[in-house]
Amino acid sequence: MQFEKRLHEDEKPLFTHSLLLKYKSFLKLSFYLLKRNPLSLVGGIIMLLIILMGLLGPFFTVYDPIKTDLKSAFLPPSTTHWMGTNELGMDIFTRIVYGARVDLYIAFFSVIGAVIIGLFFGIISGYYGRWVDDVIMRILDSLQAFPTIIFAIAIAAVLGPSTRNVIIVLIAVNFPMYSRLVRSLVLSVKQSQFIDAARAAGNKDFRIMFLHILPNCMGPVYVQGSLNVGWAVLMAASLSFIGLGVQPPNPEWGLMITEGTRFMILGEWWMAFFPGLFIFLFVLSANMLGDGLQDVFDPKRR
Amino acid sequence: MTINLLEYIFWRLIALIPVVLGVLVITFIIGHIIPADPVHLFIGQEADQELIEQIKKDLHLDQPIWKQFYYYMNDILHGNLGMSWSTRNPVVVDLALRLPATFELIIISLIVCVIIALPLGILAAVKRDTWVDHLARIISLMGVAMPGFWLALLLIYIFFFKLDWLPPPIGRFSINTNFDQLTGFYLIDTLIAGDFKAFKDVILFLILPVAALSFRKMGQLTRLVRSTMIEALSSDYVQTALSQGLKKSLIYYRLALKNALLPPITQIAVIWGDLIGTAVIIEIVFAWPGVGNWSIDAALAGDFAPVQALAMIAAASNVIIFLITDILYTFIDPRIKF
Repeated sequence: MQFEKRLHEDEKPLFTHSLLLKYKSFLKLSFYLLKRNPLSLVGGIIMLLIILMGLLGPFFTVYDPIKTDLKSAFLPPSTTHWMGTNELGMDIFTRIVYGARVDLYIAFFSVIGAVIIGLFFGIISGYYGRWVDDVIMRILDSLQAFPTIIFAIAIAAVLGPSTRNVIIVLIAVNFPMYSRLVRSLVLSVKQSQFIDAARAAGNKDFRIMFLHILPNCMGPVYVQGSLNVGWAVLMAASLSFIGLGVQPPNPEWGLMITEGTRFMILGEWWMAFFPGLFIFLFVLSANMLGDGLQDVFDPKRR
Repeated sequence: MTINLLEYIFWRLIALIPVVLGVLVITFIIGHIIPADPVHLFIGQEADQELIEQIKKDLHLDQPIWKQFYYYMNDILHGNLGMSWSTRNPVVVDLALRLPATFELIIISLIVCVIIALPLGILAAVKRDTWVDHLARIISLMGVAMPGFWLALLLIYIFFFKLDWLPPPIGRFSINTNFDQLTGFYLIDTLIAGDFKAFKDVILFLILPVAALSFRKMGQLTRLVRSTMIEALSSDYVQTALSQGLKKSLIYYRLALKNALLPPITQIAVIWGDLIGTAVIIEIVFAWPGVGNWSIDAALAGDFAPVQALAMIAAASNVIIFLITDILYTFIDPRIKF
């Protein structure tokens, strides 16, 4: 992006670019990052492993994730069934591998969707200000007055439970956060001299907004996005757990916990334990990664 | 000062109007995007045309949308949140019956959360980079990442199935316990009745859901207390006091703590909102007879009035709590003037 270079060191609206300028290449910056915060390195590795598991795992699994085999029902973890089997004889580990696909699919698209919609409203709100800003902010206020989970439950209940609707619900409850974030960034970037210059050169509003302001707001959005992927998995699992998300027999992690709930109090712990463990690991890794990124983008935290 | 404060509260209330209106519009919209015909949900598929027309008229479904919104607002102002056809009760009646159960759970969780997070956060800040600090960090990382319902299941497995210390997840008290249910807050009810055996029973049933609910938020609050406390400890006035040789405990707990507590107080409002949401799911695990179980059972059966009402009540309680903490803030911090 050309104009970044034009950005003068002393008027840096955001920390990212000065750091990128200092470390020249993205690779060097990454090294600097990881040296500073080993926790985010660990988080990144765990996350990568789970993503790889979801992408490549199904090519290596021996069992079918949704085929019932009553002869091998209720088997505890062993060498043949690493994480045991459920009441229908499905291999838990196989289902977790396939479930990673479902959860990552939901998380990925819901975060992307929320970012796009959030960016749009945030930029318009921050750039135009005045009554446009007032109206958009009041709408966001109202949306955020609802506790997230309850709002999600209400929309999911009405839309009906399905994988696609989970994504819609997560976008609906999530985009206000991005709008607020982007709005506050736009307000500061808007003051920069290069924006004045762009305007003086006769650029149209939309061009300035999306070509000049937007790229300068993306740093914190990436951080939020990486944290948010974990949150999205947690929410998707919660919705599925109460029956308003992904439907059986699809192997989704939250849904698998539901299936194991009844058997937990009977002592068959593995059915609910392992899917939960993977949710836990994934969210943990996303948070660790996001924590490290935040250190870089927020100079106050260093 | 007092006049100013009243004025502040007044303007704060005025500022709430658009938000409250927005909340009502949103719940109205949620109630109107139902893909299925609401009339059929009421009476089933094979009803004669006359009955359908009659019900449509009763529900004002034959009117234009803005008039429907007018009736909706009118109903709400008269305390009518609609009928739940799955329980065959007015929503308000069901809500009044089940809210105490949920609120008891949330309030106790909030108290537990604060009681543990405050000292832990302060200790982590004072003894920075020691094992206390690391422990606090681990707890907060785990708390944020752990699905509440999964933690609840693990707790049930350990403390009920393995150790048999705590009762099974079957609600709020054991079958053979009996007491007058006056307020619906069973801790208070059993104390009024003077029945300490029942009181103990109710507490035993509360332990696991409260633990599962508060653990998640505890970490978040601990982190916040820690960071604000560290900020306060590194400020000039604390450094001055330290250099003058004042007693450390006095500096930490009298000087620094006062300023460190302000941000966590606003955070408590956020935690409240989260707790309501999480409680809905935790209730299902413990068969807790609160609003969560009720509304989700109804929603799964295609009855949306309870969910709609729950969303509205939750948003309202959120808005009120935010208002209270805002006002509290100005009371505690004399530097804030209007």
